[in-house]
Amino acid sequence: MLLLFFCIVLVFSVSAHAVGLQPEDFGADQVAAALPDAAVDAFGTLSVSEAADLPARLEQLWAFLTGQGQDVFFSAMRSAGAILLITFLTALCGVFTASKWVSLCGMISLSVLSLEHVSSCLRVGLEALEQLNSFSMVLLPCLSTASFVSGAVTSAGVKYGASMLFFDGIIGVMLKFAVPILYGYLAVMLSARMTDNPMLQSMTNLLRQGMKWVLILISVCFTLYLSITGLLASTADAAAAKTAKTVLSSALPVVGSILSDASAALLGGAAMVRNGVGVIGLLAVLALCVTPYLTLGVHYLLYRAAAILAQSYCGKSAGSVLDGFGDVFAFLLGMVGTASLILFVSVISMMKAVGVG
Amino acid sequence: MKAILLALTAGLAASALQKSAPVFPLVLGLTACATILLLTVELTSPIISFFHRAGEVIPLSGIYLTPMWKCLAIGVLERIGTALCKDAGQASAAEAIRLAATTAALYATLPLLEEFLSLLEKLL
Repeated sequence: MLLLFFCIVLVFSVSAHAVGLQPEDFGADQVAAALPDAAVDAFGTLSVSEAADLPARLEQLWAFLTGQGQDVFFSAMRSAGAILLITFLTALCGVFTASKWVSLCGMISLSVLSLEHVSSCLRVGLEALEQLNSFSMVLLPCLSTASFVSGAVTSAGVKYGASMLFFDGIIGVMLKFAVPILYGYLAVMLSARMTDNPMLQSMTNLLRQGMKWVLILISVCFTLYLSITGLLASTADAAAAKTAKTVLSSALPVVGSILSDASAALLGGAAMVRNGVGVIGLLAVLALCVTPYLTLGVHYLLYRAAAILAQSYCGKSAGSVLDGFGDVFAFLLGMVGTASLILFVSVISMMKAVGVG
Repeated sequence: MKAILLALTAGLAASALQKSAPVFPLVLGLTACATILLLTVELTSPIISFFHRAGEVIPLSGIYLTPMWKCLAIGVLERIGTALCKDAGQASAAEAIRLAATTAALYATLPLLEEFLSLLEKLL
């Protein structure tokens, strides 16, 4: 009789706790407070309940994207216009005199101007990486906590560990190694284009291929590692949840199934909070990536177009210099893209529910 | 048209005076070059204004365009100077002109190279 009374009290307290579960209990308010500036500009405030209205949030994101897109596009057009003016002047001067100093002066002007564009885009890219890093340090622990409470006892820790390991690692690698290698690529590329040295040309190709492969390798390794470990851990969690439910239902007479359902309600509530925080994270990362993606992507496309145009009237060397700078923008885009992809995949992986029903 | 007529006149007069006064063809050639260049300068002013206006509209700093104009002027003068020296049979003077032109072009490009160095400093 006493045991029965105790079980009834336990059932009601668990149910009461499940009903009273708030997002703030998992740190969702900290995630909302740590939103990057771009996310605040795009959405204003972003709570779990606001994130649930996805169509409205996507509309806000689209408005932010079009607003930013206009500014970025016009700025990139001005840059491309300057590049084309210099190449046109170089071609015109080449008609008047065959002096190699004129073409060399043109190449130097082009390189200095393009270097200015690269340094401003590099600043945008590095800022985005740092903001992604800071935001991930608040988002991932919160998501991991919510996942843990929602029943993903093993997989939450495994996924959190994998995400932090790869994300921290890639940010560190990019800031410490990739950026200096990018400068090295720039130096070798400019020397190769201006001197027409075949050895320098081969080194340029090698560096380009190497950087491409490193980024692809990091993305593939992370996705594979997270998928395999997540699959194993999720299976264990699902089995544990099922076992616990069966034990509760069968071990305690009368109130066993009620207690089991109440605990399922608790886990379901935590899963809802987890998914809400996950959506906040995804929207914030999307908003954060809008400006760097647009800036780097538009510059990349315009430099490629300028290279084709310049090659037609200014000669191969001007076109190849512009192509080389286009590669630099592509690398920067790849770096930001890889980091944001890892964060996306981590968040989505943690949002995938362990079946508790 | 004026340039063609002037050059043809100078050439014909030079051929006529070649045997009697060998120095006059060189003087005639120099005069014809100077006159044709002066005529050309009138046409280049609108072209230069166009590029300056384009530089203001885009906008593009003068540091990128000015060295190119200077190198162009140096290249044109070098070409004419070496040709005149070769006409006068002074190949060594022609080489000296070439050397002077290269140095002058490097001097004209210095502001660009300094800008390049300062950008590198910021990046590193």
